[in-house]
Amino acid sequence: MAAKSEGANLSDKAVSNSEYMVEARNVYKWFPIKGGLFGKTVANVKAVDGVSLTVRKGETMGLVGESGSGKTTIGREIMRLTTVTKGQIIFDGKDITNLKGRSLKQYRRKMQMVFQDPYASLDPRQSIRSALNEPMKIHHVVSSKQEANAVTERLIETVGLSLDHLSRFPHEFSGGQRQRIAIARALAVNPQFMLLDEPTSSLDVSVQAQILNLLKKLQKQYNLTYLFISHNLSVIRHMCDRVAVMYLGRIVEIGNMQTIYDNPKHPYTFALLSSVPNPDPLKRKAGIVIEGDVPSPIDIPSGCRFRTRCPYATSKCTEEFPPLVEIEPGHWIECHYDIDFKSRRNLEQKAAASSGIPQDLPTTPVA
Amino acid sequence: MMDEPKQIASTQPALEVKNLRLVFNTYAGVVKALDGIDLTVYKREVLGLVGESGCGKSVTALAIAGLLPENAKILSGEVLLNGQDLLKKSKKEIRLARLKDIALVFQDPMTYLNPVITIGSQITEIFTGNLAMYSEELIQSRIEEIQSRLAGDGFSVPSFGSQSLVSLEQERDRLVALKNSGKKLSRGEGKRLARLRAIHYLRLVRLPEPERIFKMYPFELSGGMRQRAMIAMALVRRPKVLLADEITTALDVTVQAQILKLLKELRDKIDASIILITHDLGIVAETCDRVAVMYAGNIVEVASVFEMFKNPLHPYTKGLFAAVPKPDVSTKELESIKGSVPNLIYPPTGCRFHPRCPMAFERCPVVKPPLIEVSPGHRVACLLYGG
Amino acid sequence: MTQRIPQEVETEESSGDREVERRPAGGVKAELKFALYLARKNPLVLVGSAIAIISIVVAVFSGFLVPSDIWKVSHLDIRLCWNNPIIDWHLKNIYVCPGSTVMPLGTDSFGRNLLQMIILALPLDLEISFAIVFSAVAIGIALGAIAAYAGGYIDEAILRVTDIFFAFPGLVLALVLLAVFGRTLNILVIAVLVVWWPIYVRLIRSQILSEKEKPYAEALRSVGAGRFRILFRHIIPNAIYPVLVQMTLDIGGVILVFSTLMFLGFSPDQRLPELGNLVSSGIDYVNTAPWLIIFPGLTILVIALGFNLLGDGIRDILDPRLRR
Repeated sequence: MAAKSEGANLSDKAVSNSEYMVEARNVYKWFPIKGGLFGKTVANVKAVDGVSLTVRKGETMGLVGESGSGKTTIGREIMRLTTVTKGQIIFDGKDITNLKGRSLKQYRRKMQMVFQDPYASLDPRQSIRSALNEPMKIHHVVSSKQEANAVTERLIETVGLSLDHLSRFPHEFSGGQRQRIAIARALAVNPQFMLLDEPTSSLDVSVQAQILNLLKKLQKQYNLTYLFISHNLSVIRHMCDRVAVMYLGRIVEIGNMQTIYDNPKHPYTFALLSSVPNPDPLKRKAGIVIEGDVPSPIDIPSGCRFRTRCPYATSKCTEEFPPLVEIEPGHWIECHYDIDFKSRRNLEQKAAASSGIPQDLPTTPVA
Repeated sequence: MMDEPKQIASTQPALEVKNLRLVFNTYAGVVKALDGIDLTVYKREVLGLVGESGCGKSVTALAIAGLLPENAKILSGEVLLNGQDLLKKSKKEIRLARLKDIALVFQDPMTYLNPVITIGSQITEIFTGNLAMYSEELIQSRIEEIQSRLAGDGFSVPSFGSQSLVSLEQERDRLVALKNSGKKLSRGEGKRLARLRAIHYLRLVRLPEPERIFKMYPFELSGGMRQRAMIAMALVRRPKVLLADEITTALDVTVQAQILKLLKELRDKIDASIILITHDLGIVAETCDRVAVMYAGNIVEVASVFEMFKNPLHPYTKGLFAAVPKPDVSTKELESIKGSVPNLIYPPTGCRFHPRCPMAFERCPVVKPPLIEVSPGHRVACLLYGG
Repeated sequence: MTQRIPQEVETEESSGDREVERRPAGGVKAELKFALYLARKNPLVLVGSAIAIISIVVAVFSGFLVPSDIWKVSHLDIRLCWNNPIIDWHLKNIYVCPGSTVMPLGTDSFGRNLLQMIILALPLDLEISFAIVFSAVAIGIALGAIAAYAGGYIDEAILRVTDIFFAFPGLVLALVLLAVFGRTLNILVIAVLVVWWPIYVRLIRSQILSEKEKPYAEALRSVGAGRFRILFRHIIPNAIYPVLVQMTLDIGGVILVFSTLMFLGFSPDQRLPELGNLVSSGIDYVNTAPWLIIFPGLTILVIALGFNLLGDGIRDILDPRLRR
């Protein structure tokens, strides 16, 4: 299997691959902090600090991280809702990094987004019908109002709502229903790519299940490519084919969903996976609980940025920036070491199962 | 095979809610928020209160704490703490009960901490503002602390700061004399004891350098630290019941893990019952002894946590468990519960879950199912199991 | 805790949903219903709205109630008061008669029917007031939108200019303008407008800035909507409410300021039926014929108060939206 290089230096790739829907090449997003009398830039909030990733056509790519990881910011850069400080965004082979205005608009048609907050992403004064018709008007994909209405009516039923909902206003709907409307709006102009930014994070569990099922169904029906951003690992697990784990502005691990779960290689990934409370009391916590809080993106630690919280950090981690290593085909991590979390986890689970009492095992690195 | 679940911490109830019915008067109509809640929390246990939005779990917490908004009206029911009905008490008595016996921790510490007062001031406020009431207790607990330090107990610590053993002994003797004389604490002494106690609890919640944190302002702390400070603030007065309402929802998952770990540690160290309110089944499985599931203003199932996850009985509980994506198991499609949460202004008749229930039959819209015990410790409110 | 109902009690039906305490945001019918509900809770709002509506109605129909030229009396016209036992006392001020069935509010210093003059004054005052307020809003939208979208130096420049005008003492400016450009009604209107527009620029700019950053605006951008579309079709309708509050309050405020200026003597024509003017020409008779200042003054008070209450009411209606 030809493992495509997803490392930090993609500038050597002259031609983009047509199997990719979206590519981010060494993308940065720094927010300058001005200070002093003349408004000099005294520091930068490095929200995204060198991210390269690809999303293959037809797949669901997951982007997982906590606050300060930069996952939302890179999402917005990909959608060109904000400018790119450095790097390139390639959409379906075309470089859209610096497009503006009309030339960007044609790409907007092909890439749509569903936001996290269903209560705020719809204009409260706009009826649903109007909200769904609007994208079609903006992009001139229909020639008459009737045509727009016909499409809208089909859409609203596709997402599981009914025709009489069209004349109502957002506040009359529940969170789950508003998300369906948001999804319908995104589908209105037949996009190829959808960015889903925490689409179910503010929804109840049972509603979340409905929305996730709907998204899966729509992906098949419309042949969509998804980039799914979330902090909820279980949801990512359920939805995604591949996943990238972000920490403080960089991707620390990327690979197949199954591989990452079975064989996490980066200490942060392992910590994340262990932090998720398992809804099964028999599987009470094994794994590491990392101390401390996420450092500020203004003041990123030297060397490996995770070293301040990593139980396995050494002096090398402080001095040298960790290399991008392909641990196994398609599975990359940015770390100095190769730690076997998988066997450790197995040990712990066996111990927990046999004694019936949850245990906290000592955290010595196996490597 | 797994052993049987651990025994519940104690069989004595710390708090009992009996048949609590509550409504809200709003512009759109009367919201029948709580429809006869029966809940018992035993001493030293962790009870999880689980439900989705609109089920009434937060309202229950507010009712217990006496913090309901103006337009809430309690129709019937009792909340018994130490055998006394909190609902029947006057505002002043409720306030006192809240001071001493019930502590609340909320979701967003930034909103619930005063931003212009230091953490330390906020924690000690409760003592310095009520010295008369806390006087005896402060003295007593300080004496006990010193005793344990002198006895070489590993847990105690340098907040004794640089006090030598000798000076500690002197202090203890002085305090014992003070206690025996029955005189009240002076303001200065009270402040000092309150400060020591606050620092003790800040250390208990594993905040690094608690003396420094004592002097800091909320904005100087991170989210996780603030939540710990709030927990310390709640525990410092040694409540009988701690109500934790979605305390980790706003936190990152790694920070949440820290807080949950802390809660588990605290369980052994403090003498309180904890009611952990959440929508996250994982948290419940991790930290709770018993679980109560709420739906649309009713308790629909109560059981020990192992029993509940092994053998959920109520159709809603089953649906909820099936809808949660598991972190370690891959599923094709998540089972969802059809429909959505009912409007509590016009709640369904009989069993409030019947419109969405895959097992509903003719009696369900007619009779409201009572909460009955199906097996020891396991109660369900469903006509399928009786009633 | 300032919640009205804990977050989670907001629940919905599966279809035909309604949210419990959230104030209806769209749909005029739902809004009116909610407005009436709040009005029931707050009777002053009803009073204020009634006053405002009545005054507008009277102003609109003043043409039918009173012949419009009737204020142009020549001071050579002498009117005798009708049969009145106090007529001797009034012979001194032969034009100024008290109320009777023919002239319920009496006559003013020119012998005109005071009631008619007040009715004529209403459209004048209200028109001027509306003109000033609406022009100020227009300027506010133009400059506010430019400042909010352009940002940077342009934003700074507009803000600083606004600040300068804010700092201007209105009266002094009015005096200067009148001295330089002459004493006409138009100049007076411009003078008040010049003092009044800054508040709208500030208000609208901040509203646009905050709406611009809201998720729905971003969602529209991601859908492909252009700046103008977002601004005019989405942001302004959403941002307009605090502006509406300010506008209704200002209608009352402008009437006060304007009539004060007229009262102080800036009126182009002594006989002009304008409330402040009427008060000013009645000052001389304060001891003998106090109704000359009472009635016009009362009218100013009531109208300003009415619009003020209306503005407060609108603000209250908006508040729950902001609260939750």
